[in-house]
Amino acid sequence: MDIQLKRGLLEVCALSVLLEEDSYGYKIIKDLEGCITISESTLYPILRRLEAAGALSVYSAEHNGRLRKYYKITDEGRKKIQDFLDEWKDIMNVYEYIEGKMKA
Amino acid sequence: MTKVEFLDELKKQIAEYPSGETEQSLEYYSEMIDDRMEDGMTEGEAVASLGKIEDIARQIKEELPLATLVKQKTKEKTHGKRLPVWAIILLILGFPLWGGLVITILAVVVSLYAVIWVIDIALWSLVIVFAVSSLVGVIGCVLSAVHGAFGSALFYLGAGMVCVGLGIFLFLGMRLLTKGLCHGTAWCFRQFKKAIIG
Repeated sequence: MDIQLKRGLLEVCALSVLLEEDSYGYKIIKDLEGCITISESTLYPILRRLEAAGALSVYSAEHNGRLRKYYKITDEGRKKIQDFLDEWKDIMNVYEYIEGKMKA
Repeated sequence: MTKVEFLDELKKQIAEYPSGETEQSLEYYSEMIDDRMEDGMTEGEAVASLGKIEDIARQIKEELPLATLVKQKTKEKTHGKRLPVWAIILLILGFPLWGGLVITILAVVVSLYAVIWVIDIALWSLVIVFAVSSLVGVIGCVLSAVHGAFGSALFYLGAGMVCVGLGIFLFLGMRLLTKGLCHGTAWCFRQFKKAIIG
């Protein structure tokens, strides 16, 4: 898959995991396993970028005597997901058009 | 590899990045190892599953903003740009030659500057001469008139008037010139400072 495309997809994937509840790095990766494979070193810059863009906020909470970073989706992040869905509706239309031409 | 070894090695490889960046990255990977071990992996497995340290370091670098990278580059460049030893030795050995040249050039510049001011002072003296001459002209005119020498009186008056006129012109011109010289000097100093600060 195209790297730039995968990056964009992963950003939205990570955000969508946070829709249910706040989560932390390792859990985000495990939750995404059924959808797309992602490594720690790939997730890290994605989280940083989403944080810089204001799509998620970060807070630390204690867990088993150590601090763990939790990520929480913001309104900006929700909007990003909605934008993604809208945009991909168009892309799906194009996809179907191309697919139809190919079959004909 | 243990967690501590892994973090030490990673720290070494990303140490030159901005300190906040380094710390955050280390925290992130430390947390990842802890979470994996909590999930049932051994320490060695958890570290191994993160992949190569070189790849991690490169990935972190790729995400740094361009401005940070450029800054990093220039910092490295100036660091590496120390003069080699032979150049320093040559500089010291050659001092009698280049030292003399530098002193000579400095002396010439200072002399030229002094000459400009000397001309300025000389012209100001001329203003004074004109002022005194016009005064003499007036006095001469009065004295000649008292003695009945009207021709001489007229000459003194004319000469005095010429001196007054020239004096006023020169005075106005000199005021501008001196002011300009002061401004020029201040400007030169500012440029010099700018060149040093860089």
